[in-house]
Amino acid sequence: MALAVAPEAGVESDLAAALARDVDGAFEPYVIAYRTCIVTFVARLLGDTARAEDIAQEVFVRAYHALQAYPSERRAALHLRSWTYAIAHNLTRNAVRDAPPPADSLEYDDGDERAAATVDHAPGPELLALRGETWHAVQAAVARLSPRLRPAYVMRYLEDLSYDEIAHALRQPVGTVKASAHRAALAVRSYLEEANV
Amino acid sequence: MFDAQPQQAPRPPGADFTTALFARIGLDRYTVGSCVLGAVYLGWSARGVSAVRLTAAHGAADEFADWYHERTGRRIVPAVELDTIARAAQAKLADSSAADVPVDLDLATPLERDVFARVREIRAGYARPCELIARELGAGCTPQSVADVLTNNAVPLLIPCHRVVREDRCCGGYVFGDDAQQQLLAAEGLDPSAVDRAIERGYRYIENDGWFCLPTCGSIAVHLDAPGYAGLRSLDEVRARGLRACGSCRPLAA
Repeated sequence: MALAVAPEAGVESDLAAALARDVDGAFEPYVIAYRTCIVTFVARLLGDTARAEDIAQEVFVRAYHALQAYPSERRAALHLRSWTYAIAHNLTRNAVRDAPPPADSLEYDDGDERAAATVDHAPGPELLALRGETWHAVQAAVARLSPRLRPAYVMRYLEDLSYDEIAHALRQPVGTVKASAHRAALAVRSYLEEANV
Repeated sequence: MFDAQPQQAPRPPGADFTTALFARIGLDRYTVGSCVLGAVYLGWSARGVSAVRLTAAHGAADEFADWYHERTGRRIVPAVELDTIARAAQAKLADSSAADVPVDLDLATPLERDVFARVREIRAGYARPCELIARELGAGCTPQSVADVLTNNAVPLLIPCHRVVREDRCCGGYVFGDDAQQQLLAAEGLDPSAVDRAIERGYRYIENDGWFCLPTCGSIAVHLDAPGYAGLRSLDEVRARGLRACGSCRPLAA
């Protein structure tokens, strides 16, 4: 179950085919299909809903110009969802690149996570979040994740992308993505436990 | 610790997210609306409505898109969703008494903006001659230049150029044709044939209970075709009778 609304795989391939035929004509259906999940994704990465729409809009501007530049065959072969998330991730990363890391980051300076040793079989934060029980606490924890781990966590647990899609979006090996998502999940869980959620 | 009403639902963007986005990439959109004359292509940008054209005149949508590109230099695509502007425009096309909608005058010349502003002041059920509009706009503006601007009006109905009439007859030179103008004026309560008959008799004004009006004044439309109304051929006749100018049709230039 995803927390953001993204089109089904069939819709994705239909959109790619339509964009391959006519970028201008198919662009609005593409925007409608992905705008909510991209705004939500950016807002979750940034922790700043006010800026999320501006960045999401820039995502689609970049996407449009790229689609215009791509040959038809390349547009038809696009994995639109992960491709759009990749643009969103890049632009969001750029937006926060110069910002200092939060003082209360969940990660240690050496890159290890405080929660790395915490292993239990309690429901993960994603499941708790789905229940609506700890949503704000999860958001607070996600905001404390480092920019290195946050995208993988948000894409996997809040946006419900597959590891393959995340790997494609982040241009990282699947193994790296899995490790990042796992470490982030442990860090979030540790935060929730410390917060007695 | 737990929020009683956790906000975990996806956050849809604001209502005009797509409109602003399309403005940034330079794409306008269109839909099909309907008016008294039938189906129309309704094109718009983030600034306002940019085109109203009869579908019957353009045929296929591609032809309309080509016309639009040639005229504006911008591309236009069919809309999937209607935004605030498009919904308001559809309401206005269906009912001329609905609220005015923003019009995209980005490519308009200063003269066009001035003429359109005057035309938008003309209420439904009334019409004004080109000559009065030209006179109100001042030196350098002639009835012919007003007529030329209106012939080139890309957003008829929303800029109601059908309410601008000629000196010698009611309907003529309308962007959608004389029959369409006649139909629109009649739908708003005027009787173009009666106006034409008054003009043919040489009447420039009509007496109305101590006032004088244009033959195209909405307040005299009901009895213009009935026998016994008093026509006036000149301002001298008006003065001789001591009549005051109607505040609704403003038979004298402002």
